Amino acid sequence: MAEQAITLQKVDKVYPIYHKAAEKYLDFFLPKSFGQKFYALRDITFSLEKGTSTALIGLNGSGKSTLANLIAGASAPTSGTLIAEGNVSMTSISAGVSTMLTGLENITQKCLLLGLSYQQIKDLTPQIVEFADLGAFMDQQVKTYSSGMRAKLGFAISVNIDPDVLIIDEALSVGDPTFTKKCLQKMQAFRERGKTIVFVSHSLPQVRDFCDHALWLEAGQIRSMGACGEVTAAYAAFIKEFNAFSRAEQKAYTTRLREKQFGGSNEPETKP
Amino acid sequence: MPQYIKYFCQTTGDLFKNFRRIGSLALFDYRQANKKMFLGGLWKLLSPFIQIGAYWLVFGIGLRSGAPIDGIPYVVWLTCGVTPWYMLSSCVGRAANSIYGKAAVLTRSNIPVCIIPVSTTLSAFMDSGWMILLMLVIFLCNGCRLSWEALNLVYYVFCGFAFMCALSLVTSVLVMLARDFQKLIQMGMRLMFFLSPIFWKPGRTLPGAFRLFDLCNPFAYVIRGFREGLLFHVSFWQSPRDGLIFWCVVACLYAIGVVFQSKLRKNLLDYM
Repeated sequence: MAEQAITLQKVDKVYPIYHKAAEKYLDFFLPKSFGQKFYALRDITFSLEKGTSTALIGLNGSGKSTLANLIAGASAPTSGTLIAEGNVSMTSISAGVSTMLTGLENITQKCLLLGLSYQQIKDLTPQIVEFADLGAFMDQQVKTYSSGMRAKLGFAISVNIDPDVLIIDEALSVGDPTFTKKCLQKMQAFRERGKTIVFVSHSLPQVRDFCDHALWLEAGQIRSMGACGEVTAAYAAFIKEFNAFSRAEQKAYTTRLREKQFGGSNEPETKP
Repeated sequence: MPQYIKYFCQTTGDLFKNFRRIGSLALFDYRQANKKMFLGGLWKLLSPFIQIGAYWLVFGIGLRSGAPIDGIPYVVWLTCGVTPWYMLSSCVGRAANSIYGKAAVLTRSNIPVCIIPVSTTLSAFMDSGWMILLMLVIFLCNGCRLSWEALNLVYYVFCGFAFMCALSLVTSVLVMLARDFQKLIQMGMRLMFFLSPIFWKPGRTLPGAFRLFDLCNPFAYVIRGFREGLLFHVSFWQSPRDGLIFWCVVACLYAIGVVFQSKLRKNLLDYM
């Protein structure tokens, strides 16, 4: 029996939707809750084995990024339990770099924030610089970078700090094919060393190439999960069907989904 | 109530577990601060000189208008009050914006956010070291002698640091919640400048309500401490009542801060 890297049990993520600006502040300062409940994720239960790569697929707003954020520990589930073994590192389009710092300074800052020591950073930096392959731009402020270069820097940092779980949130979609290939190779090597990868992408060919499992989210719930080939085939069929709908039908479909995600007022269901 | 104990343990635990990370981040900020400026590291000396030196020029060399206070030259008396004030006030602004300024780097990772205001506070205090040095130079240049009671400065700098840490935990979250708080904090500090005994000495003529405020004002405690230690050779254990009130205020701020930090950590993304 393989070990589980990530386990989720009945995880809900509720975002309060505020209809008045004041509600946001009242919600923060008072113990009582305000606003309307929006279930970004509802009743998510699954687990991922170590050394697997799993794709998160689904339409925009289906909760992929929210789920990725939860696994990364960037936000906490509203209810349910989530266990992630080891270090989790996430890289995303908005690559989490400071635009006012240079590439090198960003490497140092990010690594310090993640808890590495100066010595560890000194050892890691050549590796990151080599992977990012930004040449002389490494000494320039990130504000001068193109979006692809920013993504490269972010990806290079996330991959090279050697996490146990790596989450890639659409980060490859801005890079050119050569960089994408390099990243996929790196991820492959990563997986062979028994590390776990969660891959959020809209590119089905990339997903099929690289992942062995897929999880299809729809309106914050798991619509289907299993072997990558089957789930992506079902998803592709759904997309085809959806695109064949008329505008009105499409709208009706998405509205119906969205309505399911709203739940009454933002009151805790059980008193703590 | 048990929830608040949980908040307390979570934030306090994060701070203690990560004290090395806090230290290295502070060092990074300290080195980074003036890098983009033409004069670079020279500003570490120049900015305290501009802040304190202006008073020295006007009151010490230029006008000599101030009559000595309790036998101490006015310029020395003033410098010993202005220095702790700038030490604290420059820290308040930086620490309040600390999380907001790094938000882009922090959002998509599991970095414990509460370490950010504390590390910013620490780096602001590293900068203040230069200012205290300058204060001692002015002090000695005016023919005053250091006594062993000057060691009280170490205690009062520590007091200031603890106070700033507690305050920054609160203000950094407020600024994330609404940018309005930046303005409010600025305004509050401007008020505190006049309400704290920097240019004046609390006498018996003050109304009772203000005397009470002065007693509870943590800025006043640190400023008075600097003066008493350096100029009047009074040690901190000679006014235990003031010390007790000060540490109670700091503890209250810390209690509020840990709750705020825990609420923010759960959902940093929501407050972007």
